[in-house]
Amino acid sequence: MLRNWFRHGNPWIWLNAGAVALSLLLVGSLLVFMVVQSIGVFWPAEMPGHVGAKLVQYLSNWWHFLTGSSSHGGIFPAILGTVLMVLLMSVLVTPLGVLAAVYLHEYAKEGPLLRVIRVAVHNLAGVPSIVFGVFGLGFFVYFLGGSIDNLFYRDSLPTPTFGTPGLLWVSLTLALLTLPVVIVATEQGLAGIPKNLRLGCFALGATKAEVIWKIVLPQASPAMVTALMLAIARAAGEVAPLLFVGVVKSVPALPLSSEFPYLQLQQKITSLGMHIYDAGLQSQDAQRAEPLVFASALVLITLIFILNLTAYRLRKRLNLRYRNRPVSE
Amino acid sequence: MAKPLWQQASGITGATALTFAKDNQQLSVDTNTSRYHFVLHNPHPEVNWQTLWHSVWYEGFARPDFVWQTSSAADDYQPKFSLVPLTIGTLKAALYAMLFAAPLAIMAAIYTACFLPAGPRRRIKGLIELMAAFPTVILGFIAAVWLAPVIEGHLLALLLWVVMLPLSILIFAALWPRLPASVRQHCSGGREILLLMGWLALISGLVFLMANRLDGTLFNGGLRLYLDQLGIYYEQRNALIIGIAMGFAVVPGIFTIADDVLHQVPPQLTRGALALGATPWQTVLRISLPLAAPGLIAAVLVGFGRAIGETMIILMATGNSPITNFNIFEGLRSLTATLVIELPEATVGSSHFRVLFVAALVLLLFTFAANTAAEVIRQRLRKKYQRL
Repeated sequence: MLRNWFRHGNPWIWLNAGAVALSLLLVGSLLVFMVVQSIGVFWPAEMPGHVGAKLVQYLSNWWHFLTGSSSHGGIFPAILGTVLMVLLMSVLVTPLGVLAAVYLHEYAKEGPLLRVIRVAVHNLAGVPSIVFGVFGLGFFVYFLGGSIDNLFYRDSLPTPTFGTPGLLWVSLTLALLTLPVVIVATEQGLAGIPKNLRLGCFALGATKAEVIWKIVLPQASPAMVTALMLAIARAAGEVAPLLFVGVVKSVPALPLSSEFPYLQLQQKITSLGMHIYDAGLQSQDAQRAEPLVFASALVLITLIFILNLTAYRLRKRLNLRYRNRPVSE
Repeated sequence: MAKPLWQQASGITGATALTFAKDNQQLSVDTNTSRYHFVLHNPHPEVNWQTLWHSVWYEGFARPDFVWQTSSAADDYQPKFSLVPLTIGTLKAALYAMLFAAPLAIMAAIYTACFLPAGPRRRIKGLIELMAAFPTVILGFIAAVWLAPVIEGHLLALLLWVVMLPLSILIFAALWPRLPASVRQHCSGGREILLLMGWLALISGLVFLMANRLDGTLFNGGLRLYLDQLGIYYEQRNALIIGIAMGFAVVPGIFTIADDVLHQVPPQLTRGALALGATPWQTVLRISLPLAAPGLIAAVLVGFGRAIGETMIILMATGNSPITNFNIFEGLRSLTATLVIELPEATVGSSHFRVLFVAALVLLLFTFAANTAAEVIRQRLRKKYQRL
């Protein structure tokens, strides 16, 4: 009887369903675990007074945590560093990724060359992030930075200005790291634009460049935003490669200032991920630091999940937009 | 073992003594009458193919061995650069992670791609892909400060859980037809997964309680102590922890590709099989799986590449001791973790610095091979699907 039951296949199907359930259970329990560990960190349990007063104190504790400097137990430098490096990365990666995607999808002809490029892009996505960090250290910091110092900052040598890890190199390394994400997602968006839209434009006498820059790219802009969000979500959680190119555990000064260049590109920064790594494993007082690390982890995860969900939503909306279009393929 | 680096006739006859200067950059040859000096240009005397990949008999060691020791307090210290322990460590971590992740991800992909309607499939796929969004530094942190102590304390529970989980799913499958029809109807089309999740959570709780009882009675004082008595060395941060935590990180990568290739199996084939009277499972086993098998291999390769390059989890949740074995209860040190630990401190341009770059190159070669193979397999599979 048992043999027949197995031969029919139902138990196997249920085992596979069990794998799905187990994966979902793991994700769910990890999320719940994170929230449970961190939500109560700032609850003033021993404070007298009723719940309302406690709630106010609770929120203000969170506020101090998010905006305080690191000497006061806050994570503001880490948040600012994360935001800055990610913004600068977006500025660097968007043009590069979009241009590459436009070339691959609109201009390149199917053939061995295109196949090689595609394999290369997929390979780039699979290169360990730490290798990008090593590359960033060897090429950006020592080669590019060293050359910049030799050319423009000769009088301050041997103290390096750009020939040392800093914000600019962090962003450049991140831009390389997230380039394949942007290329692939943008290309998907370009592939989603209906063909008759292009054909219509050609029929009205537009050139290929006009069609691409004035019609296709604006139509595909949600795809680019999606791509950028996925890239940011990936970059915000990255730690290991950035250790080499300019993310440190604590910084003496913020990279923003009120005087002209405003943004100190050569300055070292700190990030949320680095804060979790450093405070979580290397702090003197692990017992006291642990809840705070869970709180920082919650901040980072919230940021990343918001970005991912928005990207997911946008992508769905983009897909729907063309499905509901009256023009048929 | 020794291999000449360079040979040339010097024209000196009757040499009586040969001395290297301390920094290995000068050679002097004494004869009875005079002394000759040679300047050697060999900036990295301690590194060659032999020292990187073969066992070397270092001073003070009982036998030739693979050793990675790059710095020490002593002054006249010979750095030992063997990449073997690090490469073995990387492969060990990836192997245990894949043992956990590959079956889980592929089984889950079979279910979502072949047995779920489009709506629930998309939702579940999105949720599992959410696993990939977890920054690895957070996974590493949780694995190090929470998972490692918990598993050390409840080793028996984990073992029991691994056995009981499939059994409990089979029990659920046997009970399913006996449930009232209304319940079954209500829980179809993806919602049975929710039921199964509840069931698995319940079983996990029961196993946990049961294991804690058994720990006391069977092993008086826990499996952990019993292992000590047996002489099995157990490190708290070990390859088992890595397997679980890194497995979690690689599941979504494998799952996405596996689900895609299984879903893209031409529908006329599966429908034909079903129309000829094959059961759904027979269709999957005889049609979908054989067709998509190369794609599944590609998925595993991509997962393997990801596991090879994973850094933060290994860095935080192992002891980072460079040992050369595959013991699951001992720690490891991977190429990636070594880079993080040592590269910021290595002197620029020194042998150490360059060897670390070689380590990065080894990583790159591993993942390059895995990803290129995976991508080529996928492109060929896509062509095959188009032909069918």
